[in-house]
Amino acid sequence: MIKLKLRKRTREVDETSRTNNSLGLMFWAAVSFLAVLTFCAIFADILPFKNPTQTFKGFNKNGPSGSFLLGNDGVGRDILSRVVYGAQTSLVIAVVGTSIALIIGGSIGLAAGYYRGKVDRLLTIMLNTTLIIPPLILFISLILFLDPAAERRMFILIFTFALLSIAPIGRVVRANTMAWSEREFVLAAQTIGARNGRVMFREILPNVAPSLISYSLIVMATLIIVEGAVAFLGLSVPSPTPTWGDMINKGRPHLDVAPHITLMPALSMFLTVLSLNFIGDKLQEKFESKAAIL
Amino acid sequence: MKFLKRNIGRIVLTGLVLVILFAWFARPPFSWTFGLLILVGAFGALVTDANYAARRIFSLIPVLLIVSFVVFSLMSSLPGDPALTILGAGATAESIAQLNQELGFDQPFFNRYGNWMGDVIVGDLGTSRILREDVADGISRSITPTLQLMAYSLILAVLIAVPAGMYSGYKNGTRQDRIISYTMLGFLAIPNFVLALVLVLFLAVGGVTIFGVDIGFRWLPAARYVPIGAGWSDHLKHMLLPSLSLAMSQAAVFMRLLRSDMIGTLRLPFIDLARSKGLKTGRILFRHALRPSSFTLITVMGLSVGSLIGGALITEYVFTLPGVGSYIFTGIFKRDFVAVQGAVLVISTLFIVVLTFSDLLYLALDPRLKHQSEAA
Amino acid sequence: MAGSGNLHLREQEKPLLRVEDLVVNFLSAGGETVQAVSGFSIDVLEGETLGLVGESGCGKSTTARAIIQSPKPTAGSIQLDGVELTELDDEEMRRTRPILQMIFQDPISSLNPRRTIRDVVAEPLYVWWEEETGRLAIASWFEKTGNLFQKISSKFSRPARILAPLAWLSLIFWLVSEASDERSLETWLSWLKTPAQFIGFPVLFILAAMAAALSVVGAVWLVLAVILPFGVISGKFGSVTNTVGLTGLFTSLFAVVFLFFRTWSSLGGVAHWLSSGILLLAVGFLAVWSLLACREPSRAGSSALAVLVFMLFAIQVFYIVGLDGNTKLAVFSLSAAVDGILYWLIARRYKLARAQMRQRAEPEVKRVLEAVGMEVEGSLERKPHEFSGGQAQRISIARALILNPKVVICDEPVSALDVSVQAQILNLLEDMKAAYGLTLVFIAHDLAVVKNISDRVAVMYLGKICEVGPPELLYSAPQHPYTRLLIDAIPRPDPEFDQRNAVRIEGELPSPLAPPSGCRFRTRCPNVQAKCSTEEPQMKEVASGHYVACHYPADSELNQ
Repeated sequence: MIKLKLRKRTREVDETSRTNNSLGLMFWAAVSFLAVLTFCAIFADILPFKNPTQTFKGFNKNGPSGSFLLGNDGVGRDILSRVVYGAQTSLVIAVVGTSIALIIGGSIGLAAGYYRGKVDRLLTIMLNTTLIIPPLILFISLILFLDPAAERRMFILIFTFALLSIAPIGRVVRANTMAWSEREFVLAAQTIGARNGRVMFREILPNVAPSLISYSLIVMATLIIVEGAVAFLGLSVPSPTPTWGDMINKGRPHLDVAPHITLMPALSMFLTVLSLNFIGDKLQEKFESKAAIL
Repeated sequence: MKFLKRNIGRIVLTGLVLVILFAWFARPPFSWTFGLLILVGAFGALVTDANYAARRIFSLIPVLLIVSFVVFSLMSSLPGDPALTILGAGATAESIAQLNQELGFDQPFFNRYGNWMGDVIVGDLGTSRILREDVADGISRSITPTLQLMAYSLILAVLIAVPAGMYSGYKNGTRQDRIISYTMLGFLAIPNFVLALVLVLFLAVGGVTIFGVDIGFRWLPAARYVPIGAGWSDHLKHMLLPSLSLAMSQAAVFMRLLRSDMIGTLRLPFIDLARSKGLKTGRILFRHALRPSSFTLITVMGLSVGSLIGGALITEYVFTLPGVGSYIFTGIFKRDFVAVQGAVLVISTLFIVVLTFSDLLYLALDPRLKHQSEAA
Repeated sequence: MAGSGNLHLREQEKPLLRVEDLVVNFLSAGGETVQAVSGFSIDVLEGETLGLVGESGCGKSTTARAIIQSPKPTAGSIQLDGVELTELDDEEMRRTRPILQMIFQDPISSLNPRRTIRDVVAEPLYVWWEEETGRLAIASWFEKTGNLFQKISSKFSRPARILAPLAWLSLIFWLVSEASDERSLETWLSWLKTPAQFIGFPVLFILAAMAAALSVVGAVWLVLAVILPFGVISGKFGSVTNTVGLTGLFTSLFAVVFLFFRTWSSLGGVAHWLSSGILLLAVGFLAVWSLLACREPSRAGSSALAVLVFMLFAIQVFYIVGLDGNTKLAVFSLSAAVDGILYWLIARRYKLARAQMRQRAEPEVKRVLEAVGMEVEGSLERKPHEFSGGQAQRISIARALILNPKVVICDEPVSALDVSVQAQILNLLEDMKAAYGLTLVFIAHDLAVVKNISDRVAVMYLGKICEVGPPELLYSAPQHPYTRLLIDAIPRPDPEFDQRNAVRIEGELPSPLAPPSGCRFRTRCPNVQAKCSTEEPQMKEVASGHYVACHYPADSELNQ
């Protein structure tokens, strides 16, 4: 009996060490999915995709076929090209929103964690204020009321997304910076005569960066979901431009007869978010196990 | 004097209770939040000490003021003339001016804010001209389904997350762990409105055929809200799909947190001690490991109310539940900002109160922190 | 024990480091004052080694950190080579730091895990070299303009005094008019869009990028032109930089706030608000940064470059996002290409500059690493975690030595090391002291460690000094009961001596939140008297160079 248990244990240990050492096949699958999606989204105009706004008469609600790989939607448009063009919107909003939040939230968190004291208190209040109002509500009010003009939706979306992601990113960076500032090499750098800016960017930031990167991937995934939700409510980029959320919403009436209209964009969104989360997770794991050695 | 100084927290709390008792009778929805505030205060006073709880409650006041200001300025800076919206396109200039005067829109911004806040303090959120009803009444009517939805989802999420998280934390690194973890990662990636549609498709609408086999079921109703008054079983049956679609992503978040904390806790020496005492695994997990592993979970549960609110809004939209989400939506589409600002204020207040509550709960659960707060 | 008084300070000689009445208080989490160090005085002559001994929590490390001014002490005076460190401002202190180095307790934690040994050791050189010369070749352009402006402004200081307020006014006017013109951004965008339909996007985008770049450069020049004269008014750049910087910041803040409220009231459109806001912020940052250009051209060069790149990026983002779906791709890919080339160029320059600096630092790095007994071959490119604690401590010492310091403070440098390595590091420190003519302040919690290397030992208890003296006297005839207890606690290889019979220190170290009245050691002192709780003992000389702060030192009548 004891022998049996012992054997089992060793196998478990083996498996853990294996997953820790390499990133695994799933990781690379996720990366390549994202790479293909990004490539298609950027070069959608050059690649042989059909016009996403063109309606093909007689193909309404058709399932996947040879000429329409993912089928046609309620009015006969090609779902595949709409998914690809929808990826454009989602990716641009998520990437730009996260980058802005990364720059602002990152520097706020770095300063708050490094200087502490009054600076920290002030910046933390700033961060927490943006946490107060439930995100989606802030957002809908902003979109609907501030600028009904549809062309500028993208600006507001990015602005609000950035605003909403500043606080979480800032908090993560702040906590990490605080932990790393405890280390004596920070004091050592000050003793050498390095300026605060140099200490922050040369000594602390490289140590904070790994967890920051994996976290921002997860933020990006969240932004894609929220953008989907907003588009689902019909408040994202207006109609002729395809968005995943809008496609899902438009497919709802045909759910019983042609579920693929809803499921295809939902699936692409699911895979994108899943890949981002998975990559973020794996990187985090990798960095953590590395940090444990240090 | 010394008595005053030592018991300032209790005195202030008593005062607060009196004020709130007054407010309680003033108007329903706002006094709810006030009532929650007292509850949180009383709870805090119980689990930590009254002074600390009072300090926490009072530190909420500036926060609430900021929120109300943000909400008000957001709403009052909307484009378009509110009077014109109310009266419609055929209104004359005089009648618009008259209505503006009547509603106080001709006054300067800070006067309007002051008036509004004065009313809000006693629970009067204003009257919506467009929806033709008192905003406080509207919110108190529609907040019930929302709160029910959120509560059921939270309960479901915890019911799913805690066993799953504990089991996969315990089985860390094994195949079972990986299956659970990846499934949950998948649920994390499904937006709740997609999950709602999928659930409706397979469990309510039916008629999905793959290779001629019907794989859809018609077990559950797809939409419509049934209040508790119409029978518990019917009510829960109608709420199951909405709650489930809202709960799964939260469950995934909770489960992942609990799992990683559980792994950390199970590495601690006191677990080895418990094991060496010969305790059963189940007892070790539930009695010894769960509590120290759940601290982060509780904070995150408080924070998750924010995303629950957002999610509830969409879920209500998908399942056509008459909740606050639908209320805000109607307000937004009819450009009725009195209703929207009232609803947003109530929800934000709720959110803040719940956050404070979870903070205090965290204190209650983690004796180390309680000690620190007392030392402070 | 633990008394006050500065009798032990050697007034007749000129000490290299002189600490007088040092007080360090800090606030605990509960808002109470922790009296970590209260009235600590010591002096260290050139070439001397001071051993500072005490239990953990007695304020040794706090003293060490107060000496290097991080954080600054609450009160007291610290003189290094006649310079009063507590009165220096941050920048002056920073410039003083190279002669005052520190070695830390935890060797691994004091080395950045992400940098190679070569960079860790050479970092002090990089810091100060970059200060002297420009880091980037691109920066030299800014350097030149900075110098040029300095020349011009010093020549035309009189007209500048009149022109500066005007320039500021015009800047404010410009900002205000920019802010009040609601359509400006849209016209700008439409100007970009209309000819685009004729010329084609690629050409247009290059033009637009050039225009953007030019406008940014123009903004730099504008700001330089506006701010430099302002600096001239105050006579010199150095001391007023902060004032001017703040003014610049406030101006831009004012502009942003103004813009915010204006848009808030009229709701001109968020896009306009956003982009103008970002542009204004960038201008504000530029204002502050280019100020630094007056003082340190090399540094401002890279900062201005960063701002430039950021602004270019922001403009691109907002420009691209505002385009229609079909044109987005062309502009996006082109701008990505342009950015890519730009970043590649910058990165290449940067890499080149770093490579050059590495090369320049290499002999120096090798020299110190060899001096501390490290194998240079193969260790330069390795990371700190690949070394043992003793090796890492050697690297720390090398880093401290590379700047040729005068004083090195060793904060328990051997406490975290294996006993076998401790002696090696102690010997190394001795050797280094001789080779580099160092003055050491050696902190330890163990009397045995400091015995052989110190010229003078000070025993500390709860933020105060109990006893100071040359080690021969202090170890053979300890006067303070605390010192005696500490010496008794040293394990002896003497079979006759039973460690268990030695007098031990009873109880815990009292809380520095509420230290005992009178003598701070009285709560644990084996021969405590009534006087001890009422009166604080003062330093008195018991033998030549041997001082003690105790009412009843060992040699006094009462104990005999």
